[in-house]
Amino acid sequence: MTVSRKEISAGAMFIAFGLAYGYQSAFGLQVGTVRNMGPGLFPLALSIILFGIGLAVAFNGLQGDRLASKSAGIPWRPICFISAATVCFALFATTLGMLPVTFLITFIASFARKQTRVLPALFMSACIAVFCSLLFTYGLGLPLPVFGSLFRS
Amino acid sequence: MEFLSNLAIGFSVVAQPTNLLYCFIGVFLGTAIGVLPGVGPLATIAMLLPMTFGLSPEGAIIMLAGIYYGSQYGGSTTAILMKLPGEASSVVTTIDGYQMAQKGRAGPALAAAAIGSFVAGTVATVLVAVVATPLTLLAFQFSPAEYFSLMVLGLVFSIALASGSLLKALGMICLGLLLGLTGTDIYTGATRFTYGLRELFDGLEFTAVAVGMFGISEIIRNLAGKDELRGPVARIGSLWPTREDRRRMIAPILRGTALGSLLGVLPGGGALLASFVSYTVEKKVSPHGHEMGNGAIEGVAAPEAANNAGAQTSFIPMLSLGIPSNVVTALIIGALIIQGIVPGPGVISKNPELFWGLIVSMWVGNMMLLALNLPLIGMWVKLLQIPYTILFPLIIAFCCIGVFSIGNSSFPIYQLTIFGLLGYVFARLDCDLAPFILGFILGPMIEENFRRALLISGGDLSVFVTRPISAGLLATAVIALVVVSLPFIKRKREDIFVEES
Repeated sequence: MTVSRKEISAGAMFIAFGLAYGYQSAFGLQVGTVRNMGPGLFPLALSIILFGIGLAVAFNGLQGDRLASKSAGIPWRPICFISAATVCFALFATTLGMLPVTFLITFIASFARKQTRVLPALFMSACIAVFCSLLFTYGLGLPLPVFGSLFRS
Repeated sequence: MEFLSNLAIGFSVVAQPTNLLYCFIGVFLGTAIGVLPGVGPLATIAMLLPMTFGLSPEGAIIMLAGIYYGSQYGGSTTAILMKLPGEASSVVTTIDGYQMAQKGRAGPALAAAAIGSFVAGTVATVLVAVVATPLTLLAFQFSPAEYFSLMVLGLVFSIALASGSLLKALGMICLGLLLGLTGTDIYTGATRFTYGLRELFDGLEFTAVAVGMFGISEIIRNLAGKDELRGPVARIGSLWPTREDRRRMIAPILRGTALGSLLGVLPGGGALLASFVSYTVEKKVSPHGHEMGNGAIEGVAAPEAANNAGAQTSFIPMLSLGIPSNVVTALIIGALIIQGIVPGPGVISKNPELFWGLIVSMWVGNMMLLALNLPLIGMWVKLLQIPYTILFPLIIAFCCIGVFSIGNSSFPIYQLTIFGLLGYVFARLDCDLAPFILGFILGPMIEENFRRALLISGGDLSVFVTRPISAGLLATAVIALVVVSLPFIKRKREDIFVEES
């Protein structure tokens, strides 16, 4: 048996969620009694169960005599570029409009792969942007205009 | 003859040209996206969900159901041709299907999968139509206590079938239930877990959560892995099964259909369990069982029939009780709620067109699949070869646009980002996402019924065990939990899931 980092991390995650939600339910909400339940009772009960499960999972992970080999690292590259792409869509969708914003986010997202080169990525993003504008704004009639408020003043 | 008149209502709904078109679009898109490597049925449905918001409720659910079995079928195509199961329920198909393809018999394998699915779909559709009505009548006698117990049972079954550790699956359910409670409490008007954000008063946006967890996090996972070495696509050759093939297909298809229909009804069951069990059974009872594993047609026909039957009968608990039995039906319930329809026993009397329309559309959809897939197989194979470099930015654009279109606002996209990351963390820690989503959907329902039951009983917790139906359901849940925790079964269960992954 090896000590499992995964199990310990999963347990820690459950414990953290259990504590956070339990704290909010117990102190931020009316708990009430079983006869007259407040909004906090059900979440508080769930948080306590979750906390207990977290302890058990972490304890299971500790059952071992040697440390498991280190697992693969965190894939920062895809995480950063893909999150940046979605956040950019949220920030700029209405100001830029469908075509420019789709172009922007697919261009950003494509760099989640290390091998991506600038020129092919530009070309591909342009194609996807045109395709999405045709499909969603013209085809399905989504109320997001092809060019946003920035281009209309 | 009530049965026939009900089916007539259904046919009149489906025969409307717009609905036929939605059914076709659903099946077509579902297959197209299901065929794409690295995109499973869940991601497909989650991604296309927002496209249905503008449709009528009937159109939306017909299209979603079409997407579901389309993507299911697309998954088995890649399983046979490339040994890449698009989803868990076609894992067993890869065993004999890919072997057949290697022997130059990919055509008959694809045909067996299509014909098996169609036969199973037809039988299962009739079954859904027959069983749903009496179950609905039963459901009307349910009080909040029974509903609470039934949902607990559903959640427990979903853990029993989840991959990985039981404890972690339990944890994921609690976490899903908790996050599902975000928003305004219906009894007191108190806001819970909203951190002062007015946008959260109505709760977390279900679509954003689902698309993030299954769409975005899957992309991160795929990109984090090493560049996959994709095997060459097997040549298809003639599609027609030989006379020998046809003779050998019949019994496995019927057995698969029967098993699949039965297992699909179980809460938490559905296509995955059905395909595994039917493969194992086929290996034992078929006269050709010893050939299975080396490209026997039985090994394709039986599990494919079973997973399609299971996929369809899993609509029974959803339609009659309003309780999702797996993640796909949970997604469809989410879509119905957005359409303003409260799923449950009331649907059959309040929206008969929706109910019977869906049932008939299942059968029509299956027929379209048969007509669409065999002749167009060449086109699907072309789709298989689209490189992931182009696919993933396109999927991201689809996810963002789709989630934005829910309320024409940016706020759900921030939720999409957060749940995409969270989904990746869960997956990295081997925490199954399915119980989380089920819990998330059931959270508000389960709390409401719990509180209502206790309100009626005057705070007496024993109400859950003194009412016979409720007690029976809870007892079943406890027995199921005990059984899967038994050391012997636990080992067996882990074996199955190791084989699968």
